[in-house]
Amino acid sequence: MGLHTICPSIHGLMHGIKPCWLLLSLALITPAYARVDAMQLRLLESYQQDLRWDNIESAPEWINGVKPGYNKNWQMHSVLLKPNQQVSVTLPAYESLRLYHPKQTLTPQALDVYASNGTGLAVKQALQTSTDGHSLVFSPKSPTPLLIHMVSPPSLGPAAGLDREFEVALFISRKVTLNDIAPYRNLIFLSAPWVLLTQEPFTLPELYWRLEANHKNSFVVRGPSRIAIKNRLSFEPLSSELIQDYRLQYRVDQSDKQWLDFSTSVETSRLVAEIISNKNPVNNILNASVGLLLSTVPAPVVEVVGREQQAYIEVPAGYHQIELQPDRSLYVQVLAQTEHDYLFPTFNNPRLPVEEIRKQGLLSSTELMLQEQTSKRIVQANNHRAGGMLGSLLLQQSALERLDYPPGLTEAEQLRGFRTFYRDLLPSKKAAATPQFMSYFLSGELRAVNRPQQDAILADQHLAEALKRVANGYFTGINATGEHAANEYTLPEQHTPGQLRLIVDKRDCIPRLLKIQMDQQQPSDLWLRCAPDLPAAAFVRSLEETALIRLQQEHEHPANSTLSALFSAYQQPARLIPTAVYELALPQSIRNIKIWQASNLTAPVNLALQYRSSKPFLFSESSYQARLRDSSRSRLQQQFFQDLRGLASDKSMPEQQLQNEWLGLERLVLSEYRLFKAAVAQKPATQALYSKSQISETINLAKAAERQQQWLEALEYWGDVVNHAQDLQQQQAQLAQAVVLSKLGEHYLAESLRRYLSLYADESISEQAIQQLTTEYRQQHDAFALQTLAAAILVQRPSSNHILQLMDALLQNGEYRFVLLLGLTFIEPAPPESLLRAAYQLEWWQAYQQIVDRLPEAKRAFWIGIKAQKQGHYQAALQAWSSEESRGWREPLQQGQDLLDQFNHLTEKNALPLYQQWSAWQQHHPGPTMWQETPWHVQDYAGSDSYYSTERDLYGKAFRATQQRPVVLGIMGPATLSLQIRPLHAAYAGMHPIQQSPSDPVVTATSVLDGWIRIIDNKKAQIYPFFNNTPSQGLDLSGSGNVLAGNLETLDYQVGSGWHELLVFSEQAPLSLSVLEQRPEFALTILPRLYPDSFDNMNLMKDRSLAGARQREKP
Amino acid sequence: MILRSTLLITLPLISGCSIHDVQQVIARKDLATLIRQDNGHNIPTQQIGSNPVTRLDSATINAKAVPVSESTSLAAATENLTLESVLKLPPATTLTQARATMIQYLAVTETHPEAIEKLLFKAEQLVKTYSDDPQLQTLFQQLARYSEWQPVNSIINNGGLSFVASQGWQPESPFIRTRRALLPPVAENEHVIFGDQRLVLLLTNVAKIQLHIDARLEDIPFLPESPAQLTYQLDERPPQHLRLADQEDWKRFTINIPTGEHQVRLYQQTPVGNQYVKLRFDDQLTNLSVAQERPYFISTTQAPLEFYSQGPTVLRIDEWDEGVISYRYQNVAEGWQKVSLPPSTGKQKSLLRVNERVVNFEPKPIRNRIVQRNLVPVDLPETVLKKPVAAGKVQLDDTFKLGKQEDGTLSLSVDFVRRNNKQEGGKTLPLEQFAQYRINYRYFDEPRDIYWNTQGFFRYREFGGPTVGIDESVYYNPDWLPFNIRTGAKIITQVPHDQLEWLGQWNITASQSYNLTPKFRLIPNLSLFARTMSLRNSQLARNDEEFGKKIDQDIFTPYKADHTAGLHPALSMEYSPWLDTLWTGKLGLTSNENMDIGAPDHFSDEVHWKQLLGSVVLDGFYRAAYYQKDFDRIASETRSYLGLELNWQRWAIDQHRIELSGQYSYDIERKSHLATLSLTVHFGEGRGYRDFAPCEIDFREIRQRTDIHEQNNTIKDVND
Repeated sequence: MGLHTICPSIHGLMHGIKPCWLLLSLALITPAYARVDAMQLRLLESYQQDLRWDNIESAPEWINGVKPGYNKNWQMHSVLLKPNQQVSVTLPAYESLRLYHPKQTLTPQALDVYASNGTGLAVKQALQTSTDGHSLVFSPKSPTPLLIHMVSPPSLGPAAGLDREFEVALFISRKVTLNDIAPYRNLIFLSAPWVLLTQEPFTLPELYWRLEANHKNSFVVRGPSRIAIKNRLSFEPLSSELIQDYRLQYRVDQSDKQWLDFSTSVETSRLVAEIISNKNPVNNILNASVGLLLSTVPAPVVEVVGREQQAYIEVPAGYHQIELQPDRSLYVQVLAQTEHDYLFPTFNNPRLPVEEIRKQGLLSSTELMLQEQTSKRIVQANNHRAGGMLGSLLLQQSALERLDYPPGLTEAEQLRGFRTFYRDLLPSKKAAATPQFMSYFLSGELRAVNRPQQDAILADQHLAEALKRVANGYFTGINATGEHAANEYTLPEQHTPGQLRLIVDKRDCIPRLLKIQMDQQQPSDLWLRCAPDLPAAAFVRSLEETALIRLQQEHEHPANSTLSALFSAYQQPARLIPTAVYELALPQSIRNIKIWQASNLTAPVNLALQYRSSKPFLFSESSYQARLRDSSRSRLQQQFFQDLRGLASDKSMPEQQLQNEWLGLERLVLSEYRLFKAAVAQKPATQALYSKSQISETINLAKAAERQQQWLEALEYWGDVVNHAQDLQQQQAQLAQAVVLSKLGEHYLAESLRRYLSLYADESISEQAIQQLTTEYRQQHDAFALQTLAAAILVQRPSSNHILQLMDALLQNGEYRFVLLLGLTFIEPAPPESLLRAAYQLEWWQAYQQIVDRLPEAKRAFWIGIKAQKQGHYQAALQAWSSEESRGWREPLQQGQDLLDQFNHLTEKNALPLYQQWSAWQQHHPGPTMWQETPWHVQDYAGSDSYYSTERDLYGKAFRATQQRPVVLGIMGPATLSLQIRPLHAAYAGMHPIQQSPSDPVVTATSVLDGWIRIIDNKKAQIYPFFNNTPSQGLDLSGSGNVLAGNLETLDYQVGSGWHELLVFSEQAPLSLSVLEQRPEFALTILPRLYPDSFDNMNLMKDRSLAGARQREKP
Repeated sequence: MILRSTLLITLPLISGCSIHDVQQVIARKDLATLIRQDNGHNIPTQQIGSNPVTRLDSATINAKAVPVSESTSLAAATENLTLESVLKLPPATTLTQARATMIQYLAVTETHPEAIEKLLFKAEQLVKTYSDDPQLQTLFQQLARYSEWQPVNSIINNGGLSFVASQGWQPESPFIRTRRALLPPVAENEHVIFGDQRLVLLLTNVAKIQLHIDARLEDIPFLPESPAQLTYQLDERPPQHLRLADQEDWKRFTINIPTGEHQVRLYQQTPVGNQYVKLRFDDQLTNLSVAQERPYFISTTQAPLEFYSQGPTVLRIDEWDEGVISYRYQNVAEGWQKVSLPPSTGKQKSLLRVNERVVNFEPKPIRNRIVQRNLVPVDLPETVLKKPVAAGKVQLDDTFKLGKQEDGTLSLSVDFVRRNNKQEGGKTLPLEQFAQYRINYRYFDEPRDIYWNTQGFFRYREFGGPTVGIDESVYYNPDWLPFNIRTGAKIITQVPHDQLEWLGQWNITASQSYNLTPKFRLIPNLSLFARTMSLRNSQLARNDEEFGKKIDQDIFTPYKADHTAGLHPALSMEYSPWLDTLWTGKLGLTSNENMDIGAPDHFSDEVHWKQLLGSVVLDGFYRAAYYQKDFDRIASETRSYLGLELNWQRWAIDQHRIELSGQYSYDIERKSHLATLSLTVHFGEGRGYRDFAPCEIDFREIRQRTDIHEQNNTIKDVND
């Protein structure tokens, strides 16, 4: 409305371009994330979406059980179920199932209705009754097809009236959507080079334009019209991540630049190939012609591209030049939608035509489009919690209200896939003592009926990412029957409704009934169905499955790919097991979940739980590098420093998206800074002054005392100086005090004083204090303290040098992403080795390659070889390491190869020696080490603990040990573990905080725990003390009852060779334990990490039997 | 293989498919497509995808059979962990050993606190050796809590006592002195309460007095602020509290003390380390000034200080020298030892105080200074979701009859036809007229992507008796095939005289449409037809003009008889300048029975202008065929038609549809006027165009949304 009112007044002021249109169009193009077409949404609003009910008569909708038969009286097909009989049918995505009896009122108790995704875990569903009582309806709004299993209850005898046959007709809703009402039919030619791109199977190649990164291209278009920019990202050959973000800058005439933001993943459902381009069209066409004459097909150039994205721009009336400039290379096709696309609009126009929609200004207020923009903004903003969940749910809610526009649902699903993930939920009360284990599984998703198997297409460059996507779960057993033997789970506070994924181990499957209860809600039935309902071909082949198949190809024999060497380079090797999976809706308020077995079976069942959670928004390497090109390092550094100091910044600047990326790093740095700062006083006290000579005299006395090693006296003299001098002299004295305090064994006071000086002293003194602290922490191998120090100093005294120090500390703590952010963004030049180490871990191969190329020739060999071997190119690695300097890496790799060869001569007799050789090889692995969290060593525990870091929005898990139920670790040695233990404090018991004003940040006393950690290693008992343990701040422990997590106690533990079972507990307090294992930072991947399972898997290499067993092979 | 090779070569030529599309036609469906990348070249390969889930059923390594060796860590083994075993531990040669040893000392101390002196002695040696290690220091401090310094009392000899007077706070313990050195100066009139210390004032008042006390918290300046609570209590009256904070000035409070004997206690409620409360009393009460005298043993050369001490232990020897107290430590060997402390070198006498470590069976817990950090949590989600409304009921409105909506579409038609043989010239070209009654049943099998159309018809002819026919056609459009398949079979029968005559025909067409631009597309197709007929060799039918009038041209024409099979490749072009306008053209040829498309029987072309006008479609067309002279045709000839078709339709209740169609065409060569008038009723039951194959309805997308009657089933959540 506002636009309409101001238009007339502006109209007369401008010539040429109609200002109203210009304003309107600018208003419309401001949103950066539009993929939903507001025009089509508005066009559709005039039409009702068709809803039909299809009677289920036979396959393929009917799957198994009682077959539908025609009921003449009802004039439809129905199923006649006797007590305990069942029927299974498929329900397409977003559709509803309807049970109908024309003559009888149906109650929800009439049938037990279960839903499953076809893998075998069916969950009982509550049905809605129709107002007339003749129908029951189930509308799961599932984005994937489901199987619905209907079971007639068992006979309760004639008296109950339930022994009769039960007849019901089954219907599935069919929602019919209209196609494009006003299609974009005018192809616009760009100034960029054109290409012919094949992208749909069985179609002619299409004309596209290749827009190179940061190159301007333009075209002229006549408005009023709306243009659709269809585009596909051209993946850089070294770009390893699947999900990519990119931007397309555009400008209409001389107006301000606007950005269109896209998120995409790699195209996996079709091959996209460049046939001919106009780079050299004559040659291309000639070659093609010759090819045709020779009855050969011109070889297309297969491209690794992103999924197609669209964006829409409104173009005002008149001729306009539109300039496009992407930040990454794209294939683009621009199509225009024009008004008056009907010869006889009076007869044929849509009810609300394009021109009318534009005239009424309806586009900018289109609900789903606005929600899409809001949702995408939310998921991309890391400054709030749960952005991924909230944004994707918000879009899903809106998209479900516009089922007539399926792209909305697709967008919502994509957003959910990109910005959320499943987090393990371990039992807070583990019922059975049977060992927990970690296994991989394929989640299973039914294909839509009539949709062919679309093989996931996987390029080598994405193999690692695809392998990292293979889902794993921590399976715990339920042995007994009944609620008393339930596994209990506690969820952290949820900010949105979510989903709970149940995964049941289907090895040795026995059909059974489980029950799940959320808080105090009515328990739901879970029915484990062992017999496959559908063949394997009915399921979508996921990218991760293709990646595993790719590994199988490497071995030439069917192998358990998740135990293979190449898999081990990216994930912990473990078995891939057949599972039944189901995703339940998880209301936001739920905090406790119980699962127990209702069937009276003695055989245990293993299950794992996961819940959906938000991912922070992080750029891929290529996306990040592309963003970096928009700004200078000095400007970015300035911005970063401003952020750290809490200074306001201009949110409209192009750095904003990069700032969003740094938020995690900033949170880390600032929380460390606050931690560091909290340990010292906030400001220095005022002093009374001595004269210069007095001070000089006292200093001499102090130094004399030092020379005589009269440390206390020296301290007193220095104290005298501190109390009566100012500025530099005072600080020098304080630094001297710190040295003397160390000599006196007062390490805490010395450290505190140095911290204080590092923050508040003049630069020269501060640097000395920092240096002393650094030396001390290095001697103690305390990487965390180094990190805290470096972060605090960076905030207090931002400088490039302090960035380098922080990088170094972060590298030691395995914070590789932050190392790269710092090194690539803020300083030039960053130490190449640090960057290479981080880039290697994250597979940021573009940066890696660039840095390696810049290294002196002599230093490249290691980096070339280590990358080659990580990608399975062992010969290339050996070649790179052929010089004498690389012997330390070449020989272990050759030894690994020799070991591998020995598996060809494996017998029962030499198995153990070979195992030991392998173990020794692993122990003598060259290169630096790092710590990796290894929860798979944990086999039993009283319950799990879920941690939440308040300041960093990070989650962690640990395992609860009590005296009665220790944490049990099972591990094949030799291995070096770090047991990370937090004693648990009873909340507030023993704490006596002094009553203060609410703003007072200080308490002077709290709960303190002293005690002993007991470790029983293969029945040999050991103890390790902890004392002065106080509750940790900023760490929320969810679901733990009334306890607080104490500060971390760490014990490095070298596990001897062979099988070790470690029991860990304390008699003084419950413990919360997590386990880290020392691993090579540059692991040689010629052999997988050694475990009995991975060893056994090597048998496959000599083609030794193991037949594959697809559990869902035959229905 | 032949099929594969043929398809590999021909399909891309025909269809423009890429080689990979073609491979998909032939290859197995469970392929995984991998793009192998080598030096910038992307090479797609397809691999047979076996399930990566396998079973390991020949495990050869029994985890528990691998020889076991002991683990190592700082943790102390409890087996045989006794005082004796600990005392016999070899000297630590590394820091790790020192830490492990210290942990064992600590463990033993907890069960044998009485042995602390012995253990501390050893522990102090370790700390001295590794004085830079904070962890060792911390362990030692923990151990040291089990002991305290006490003055030796088994003095044998000394040179007398000397009382050293001091003003102000002069702590004796080096621990406190260290901290005092870090504090601002303490004035001589200031009392200091440190840790658990209590300051007790015993007063005997002759008159009621007011005791004014100033208190101030004193803290080590670089440690974080930590407020304290000073408690003061008069006799057994309820204690009073005063909160003191860092950097605050003196706080004054007053205690009213009545006459008589009274006790005032002052102490910190919950003291933490490194923190002190300073007190200053009213100046008038001079007897409360801070002055003390501390006794020192005089040790001279003649009478050195001598005493007994039970070792092993450590002695702390404090020596007062000109106002400066220095400390030194001396080890005492195992057993009762006589210790002699002569004056320091070069001195005649020394003033000494000696302390030794004694066991403390009840070590006090350490009170930590905990700073409550000002946490900055990450912001909560910026918005909240609408709460889902769980509706227990739904309101279903069934506009269309249940049980019918998934079925096919039944259509009843009546046609009035006037036509001639459009296929060929010659003498047997009589016009024929008939009324035709058709029944069609169309069904779209969505799961299989097949459109079925079954037709039966009955013709009431002007001449030659009725014709009955049945026609089944199928349109198959699966995603996995690179083209569409349309196939049909029909049988038509008639008794034109005294004998049943018939024709059976089968044809199949493969076609695909390729969009060159969004407005223009090409549709190549290739058809094959084959027919059999009762009158193929009938001379009567060929030569008898009267018979020619009687026989249905669908059962016999000379062309049909001469061409019982053939190939028909064609190329259609469609251009849609507006959404409601369609211009099409088609070029084709038809082979003779020898299937040689190099020498076709005839060529054909046609052009259409189809125009949508609301519920009407107008189709103006020109169609021509050019028959070649060949062995069954004496001379070439042309057949061409010009025509116009009008199609009108209207939706009725239940999505039944009435379709009225009229077509007029003019045979240019024969100058004949031909026409067809049709009336069809489609019984929709909510299916709309669903059962109609693609291309059967022109302007389908537009008509679908504009024509269909606004009837729909509905489903609506209803709250209980």
